[in-house]
Amino acid sequence: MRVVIAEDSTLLREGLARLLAEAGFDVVACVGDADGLLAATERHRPDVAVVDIRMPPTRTDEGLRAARVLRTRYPDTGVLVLSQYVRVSYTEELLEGGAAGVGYLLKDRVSDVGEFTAAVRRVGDGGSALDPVVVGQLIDRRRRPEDPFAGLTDRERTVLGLMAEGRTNRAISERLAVAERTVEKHCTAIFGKLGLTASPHDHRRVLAVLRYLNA
Amino acid sequence: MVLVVVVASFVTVGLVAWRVRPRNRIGPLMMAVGLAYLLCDLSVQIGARYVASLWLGLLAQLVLAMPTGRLSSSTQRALVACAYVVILLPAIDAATRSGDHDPLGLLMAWKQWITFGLSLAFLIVQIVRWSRASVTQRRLVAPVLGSCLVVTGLFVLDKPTQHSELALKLALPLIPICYLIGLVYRRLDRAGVAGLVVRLGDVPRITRLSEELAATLHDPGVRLGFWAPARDDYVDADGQPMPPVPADRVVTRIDRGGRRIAILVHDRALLDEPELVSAACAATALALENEQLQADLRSRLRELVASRARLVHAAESGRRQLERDLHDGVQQRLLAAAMMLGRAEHGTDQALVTEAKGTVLATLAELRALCQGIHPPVLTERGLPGALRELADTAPILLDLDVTVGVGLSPEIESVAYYVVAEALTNAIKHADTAQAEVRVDRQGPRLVVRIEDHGRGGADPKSGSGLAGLADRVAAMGGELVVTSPVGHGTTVRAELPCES
Repeated sequence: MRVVIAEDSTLLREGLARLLAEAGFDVVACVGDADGLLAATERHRPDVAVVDIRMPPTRTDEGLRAARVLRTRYPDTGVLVLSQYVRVSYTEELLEGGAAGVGYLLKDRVSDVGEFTAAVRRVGDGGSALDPVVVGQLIDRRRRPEDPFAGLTDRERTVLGLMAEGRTNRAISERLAVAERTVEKHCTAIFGKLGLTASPHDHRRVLAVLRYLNA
Repeated sequence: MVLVVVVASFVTVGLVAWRVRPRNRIGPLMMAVGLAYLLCDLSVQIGARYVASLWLGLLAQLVLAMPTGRLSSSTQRALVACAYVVILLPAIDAATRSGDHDPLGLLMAWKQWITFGLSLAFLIVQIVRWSRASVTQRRLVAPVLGSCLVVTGLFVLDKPTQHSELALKLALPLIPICYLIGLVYRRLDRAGVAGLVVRLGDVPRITRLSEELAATLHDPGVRLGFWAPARDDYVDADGQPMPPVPADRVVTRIDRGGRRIAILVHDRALLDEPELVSAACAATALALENEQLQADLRSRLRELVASRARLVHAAESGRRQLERDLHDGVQQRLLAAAMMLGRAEHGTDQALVTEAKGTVLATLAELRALCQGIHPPVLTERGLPGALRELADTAPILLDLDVTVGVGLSPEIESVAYYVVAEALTNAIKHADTAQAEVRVDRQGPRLVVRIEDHGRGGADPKSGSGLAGLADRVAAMGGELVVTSPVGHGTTVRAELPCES
C-alpha cells in the first residue's frame, strides 16, 4: 500500500515514515506542507495520505483544507488526518462527501502500532477510522431530552462506539473476543432500537451511525 | 444753568436707562420728569401756570417707583394719586370757583400744609421701604434710594421754611446720576460672573459653588438645589429634599440643553437683574456639568484601577496554576517515564517499556487539556465561527448558533468573544436547567455584539459568580461592555459589545 506523509515536524515525519515502512507500507513521499502534499499526491497517486492539520505557513488548518481538496480531487486516495486535538466539527467537514476513505485520529494513536497501521490500511482500502474521543463526544452529549441510548445494553453501546469508529464486524469481534455472529446480532439490535436502516457497507454504516449521533 | 443741568441729567439718563432696559418704565418716567421740568420753566414765561408743578407729580411717581418703575403697593399708588390731586388743585379750584362760591377754598388755604404732610408721608414710606429691604435689595437700590431720600427730605424742609429751594434744585440731578451709578454697578456685577467662572474652574466643589454664587449675586441667602433623576426632584448638597421657598425668595431653574440641572433660590430683588441671574445660572450649569463629568471620570478611573488589579491578579494566579500543573503533572510523569525506560535499557522487562509508553501518553493527554485551558486550539485553527461551531457541536445542550461575522477580527477580540460564549454556556449548563440556548454574534457598526440567551431559570448574579465577573473585566479591558440580565424565572441573557474596527 502506497502512502504519502504530510507532517511539518521532522521528528514526527521521519518517525511515521519508519513506523509505516516497518509495517510493510510503501512510503512514496514525505512532505512538510499542504502544497507539497497536493503536488506529491498528484505525482504518486498514493492509496492513502497521512496528513497533519497544523502546517506552515499559518499553522492553523492547512492540513484540513488540503484533505478536503484531496477528497474531491482524488476520490481513490484515502485521507487520514492526524492532530493533537480532535474536533467534532472537523469530523463533520471531513465526512461531508461520505465516510469512504476517511480517517481522523489523535496523534497519540501512533503509539499503538498495530491499531494505527490497521487504521491506515482501512482508510487506504476505502474504509473509515474515527477517533474514539470524537465518537465518545458525540455519544456523551445526549441532546435529546429522552436518552436515546437508554434502551441499549452496555455491550450494545460498546459495539455502537466501535462501529462509529469505522471498524468492521470482524474487527469488533476480535476486539471484544466474541464470535462475529454475535457482533452481527448486536448490530441488528442497535439498528432496530435506534430506527436506523442497516447497510452492507461498513463506511455507509459509519455514516448512518454518525448522522444519528449528530442529529 | 441749574435748569440745563436738571433737564439734561434727567433726559440723558432716562434715554440711557430706556436703552439699557427697554421694559423698565424708569427710563421714560425719568425723561418725562426732565421734560416736565423744562415745561415748568417755560410755563412761567407763557403763563400756563397750572402745568408748572406737573414735574413734581412725575418726580413723586419716579421716587416711589424706584427701581422697578412700578408702584408695588396700594399705599404707594394712593400717595402718588394724592400728589397729582394736590398739584392739580389750583386748576380744579379755578374751574369750580364761580364768584364767591369756592368749594375748594378750604383745601386751597391748607394746600401748603397738605403738601408738607404728603411729602412727609413720602419720606416715611421710603424709610420703611429701606428698613424692610433685604441685603440684596439695599445694595441694588442704595444709591438711588439715597438720592430720593435727600430730595424728599429737602422738599419736606422747603415747605415750611422756603429757604432750601436752591438746594433742592441742586439736589435734583442726584437722582438720575445715582440711578446711572446703579446701572454701572450692575454691569460690574455681571462682569463679576466671569470671575465666578474662573473661581469655579479652580475649585469645582458643590459647597463652594453656593458661597461663590452668594458673593457674585450679593445675596447671602442664595441656595442651590441639584436635580436628582432618581428622586425626580431637586435636592440640596447633602442629598436632602429642598426646604420650602420663603415668600421673599424666588426660584430660577437652571437647565442645559433641555436637561434639568439645578435650581437657584434667590432674592426676589434679583428679578430686576435678569442678565446677572442668567449669567450666573449659565456659569453654575457649566460648573455642575464639569463637576458631573469629573465625577464620572473619577468613578470610571476607580473602576479601571480595580478591574486592572483584578486582571493582574487573575493573570498572576493563572500563571501560578499553570506552573503547578506543569510541575506536578507533566514533569513528574516524564521523569517517571524516563526512569522506566532507563531500567528497561539494562534489562529485558518488556512490561517496563509498555508502562513508560502509557505514562508518556497520559502526559500528552494532560498537556492537551492544559493547552485547551490556555487558549482553545480550535480558535487558532478556525477563528471565532469555527470555534463556536465546535462549542455548539460538543455542548450537552442544543445551541442555536447564528454567527454572521467572518474573518478580519483581531485575535484578542475573537478570544474574548469566544470566552463570553463559553462562560455563558457553562453557566447555562450548570445553573439554568434548560435544554436549549441561542447564540448570536454579529457586527453592529464598529461593535461586535455577542449575545447568549437561554430560557432557563434565571437569577444569575454577575457579581457572585466569579466567572461572569472575570468575564466583565476581560470585556472591559478590550474597551467593551458586558451586561447580564437574568430575572428569576425568565432566563438569562449575556450581552457583550466589543470594539471591532478592522
